[in-house]
Amino acid sequence: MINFFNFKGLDEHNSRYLITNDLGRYLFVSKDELVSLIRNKVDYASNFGKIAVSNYFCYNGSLQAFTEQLKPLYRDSKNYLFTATSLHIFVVTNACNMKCVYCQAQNGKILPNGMMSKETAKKAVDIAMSCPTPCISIEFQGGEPLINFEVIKYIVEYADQIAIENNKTVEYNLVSNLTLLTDEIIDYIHQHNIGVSTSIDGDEILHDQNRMLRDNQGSYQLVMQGINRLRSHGVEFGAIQTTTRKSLTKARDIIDTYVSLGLHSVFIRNLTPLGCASEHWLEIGYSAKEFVEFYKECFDYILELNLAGVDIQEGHATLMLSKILSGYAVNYMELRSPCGAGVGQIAYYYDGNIYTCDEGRMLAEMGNDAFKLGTIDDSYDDLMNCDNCKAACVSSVLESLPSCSDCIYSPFCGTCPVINYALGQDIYCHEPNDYKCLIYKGILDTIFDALQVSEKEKILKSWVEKGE
Amino acid sequence: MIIKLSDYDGKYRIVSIAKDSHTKEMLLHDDLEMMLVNDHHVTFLPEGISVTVTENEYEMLNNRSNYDVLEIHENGNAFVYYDNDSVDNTLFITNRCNSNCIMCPTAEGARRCSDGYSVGELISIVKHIPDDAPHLTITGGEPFLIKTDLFRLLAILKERLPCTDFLLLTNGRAFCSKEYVKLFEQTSPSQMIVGIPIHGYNDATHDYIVQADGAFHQTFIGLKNLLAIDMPIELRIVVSKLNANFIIEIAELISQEFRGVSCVKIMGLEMTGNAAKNKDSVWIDYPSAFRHSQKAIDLLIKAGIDVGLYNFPLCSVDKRYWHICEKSISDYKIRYSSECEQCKVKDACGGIFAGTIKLAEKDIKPVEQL
Repeated sequence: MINFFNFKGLDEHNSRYLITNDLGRYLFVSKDELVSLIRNKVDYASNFGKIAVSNYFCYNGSLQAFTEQLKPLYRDSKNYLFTATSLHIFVVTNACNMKCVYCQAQNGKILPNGMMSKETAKKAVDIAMSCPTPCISIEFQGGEPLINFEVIKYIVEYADQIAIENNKTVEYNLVSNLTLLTDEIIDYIHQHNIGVSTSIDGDEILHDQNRMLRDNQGSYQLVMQGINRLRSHGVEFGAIQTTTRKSLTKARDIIDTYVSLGLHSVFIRNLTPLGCASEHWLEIGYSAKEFVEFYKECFDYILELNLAGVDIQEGHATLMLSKILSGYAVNYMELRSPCGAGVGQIAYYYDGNIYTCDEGRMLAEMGNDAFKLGTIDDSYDDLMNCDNCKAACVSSVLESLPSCSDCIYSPFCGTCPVINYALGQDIYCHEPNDYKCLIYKGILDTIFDALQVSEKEKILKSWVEKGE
Repeated sequence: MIIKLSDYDGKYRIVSIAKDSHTKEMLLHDDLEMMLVNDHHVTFLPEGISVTVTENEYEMLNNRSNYDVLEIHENGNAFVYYDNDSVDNTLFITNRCNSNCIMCPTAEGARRCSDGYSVGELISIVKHIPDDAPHLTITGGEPFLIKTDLFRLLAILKERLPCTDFLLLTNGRAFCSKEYVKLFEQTSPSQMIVGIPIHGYNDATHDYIVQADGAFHQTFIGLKNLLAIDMPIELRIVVSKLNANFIIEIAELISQEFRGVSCVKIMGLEMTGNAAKNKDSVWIDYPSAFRHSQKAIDLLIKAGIDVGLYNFPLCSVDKRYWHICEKSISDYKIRYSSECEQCKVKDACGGIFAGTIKLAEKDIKPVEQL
């Protein structure tokens, strides 16, 4: 008997197909094999039959026994549903000393510079710690969060205190441009084991074209100094890359920059059409097709480097491969069904308003609070039970969305109701193959192309194993 | 599982099995006595005493896994106390019980005479259990008959096996003592579920089956006390001719008074011991037992309580309830009838108790079409 599955032709002659099922298992099959599956005429004794059974595309026994087998596997593939909100984003200020061309966190207009007060922070931490999960993550964002370092310290100390009293664990992460580091800050980061994430868009020229200080000076040198100071204090960091039109011709340079900085992961990110990015789209934006070509170039180059023994991975790919190769979903908020809005992450804004996610608060900065959950005077239960939270969850369940449910990539993909709303005025995306969809499809096409080549498959497998 | 050693030196021993030098080193490092089974030699270490074994005995020992725990009696009978290859391991405290349920699968004689283990022996055995043991069932008879010694044992389990899941099977009567509840709360491992049977919905109906006055009252209070400390509870209802007519009343009682329990298991009969002796008043075939339970299952689920069906072959259960049937019978007790070869869902069915198959056979109907 056959299980549910999706399929897609891989070449013009339709002689080879990719099939995937709900558990995220995949197989490359011939046309004959696909037909035998569709017609429920699989020869279980053949090689194809055995592989199809072991990947849950079909079964040779009772439906009852097959269902029992699938239960723990389904749980693994949706494991993020079994935990309460794990990521708590504290937007401690919207003030920033930089003005990156694509900044999502401001709308390009001059907003009043707000700082989160200790009172607000305390109430927000109380909500975060009331979350019924033993382990949470607190992420400091902004603007530039270090501008409000005093409150960061307060949050860490207060949260640690509650954590000890209630037998919980808190992990901290700082998303910073690294231009305002002082020795005191670096010591504090080191002492409290705070993870650090920053942005490095490429070499000095490219980076400075995207990311400049308010006086138009480039930030690359400051970032490099910051990195060196962190490292000399034993603090490691991660970096992500954001792609603008200028990046499209510099794929190799970008990767080389990351390798030369001793980094082992580069997250090739497309622009999100929010905030300054949408204002400047004509200058810095591009089509999904253009991004996908750029991504492919980065990816292929990264594999080339891996074959030469260089330890470097691409971020999206590593996340998706965990599900593709091991059936275990990493709790990355944009690649889950439902997405992380509210139930996976919450964003506490400096003014005490609370949003479904980072993108939700950015939309509010643009003037639209459609994704507001409530305020710091609400309880965690109130925040989760509000209509906005439910709407965001319902609209991001891929299994229920018309184009997504039939797509071979739905086990590995995700949709963002905030972006759908910002671009199309509806939390449901009306256009199959819109910008984000084409980009994810393009990334997954690239990954699955590579998985068909055995030496590339080996490298990709090692990326997943390293994470374990 | 018992392996009989014909040529044995008569010393009572608790040993871990080691079949290779890595395991041997690990056990030596942890200061644990072992039986090294290797290259057709059997040796007790660190004592350094060799044992002469027949081909057959060697093969049986060699079929054991590394880290299995054997309890060897003076007469040379080696009892596999812990099977490292199995997820179904039991810590057996005593055969004795302060109840005498009419349908108890253990014979009354066995329960009255045997002495069980001293807590010192149990603690020695527990020290050998590897700390990656996934699950242990603590049972008897009635474990609380060793009184506060049980808490000593629990404390050792809590300390040595922090990652193991535990199921404590008890009639729960001891928990009517607040002092016992407090000690339990302090010493119990954190992943603990307490499995408690309930046979009736009031003193009359419950005590009659348990054959002990005051049992219902004590169990009732015990359950309330456990719920008050948020202890996960699994309530077990053994469906027999004695209570088939009021299973739904029991379910109503549970949903009103014990709604906080983790789950309820509806259990099919094991017709050995007392149950076999009292067959005429106890035996009800599995299809009838299920039919008498069906409304109770619906009621419990509506009340938000998880329900599982233990020991029922799928053919005795309405198809819509198959997904709550569990393969609950211990491996070595599972039997199927010859009819079962025709059954389309045999691969999903947990079979029937060895002790009950003769009685149940006539009701077995292979499922032909789905």
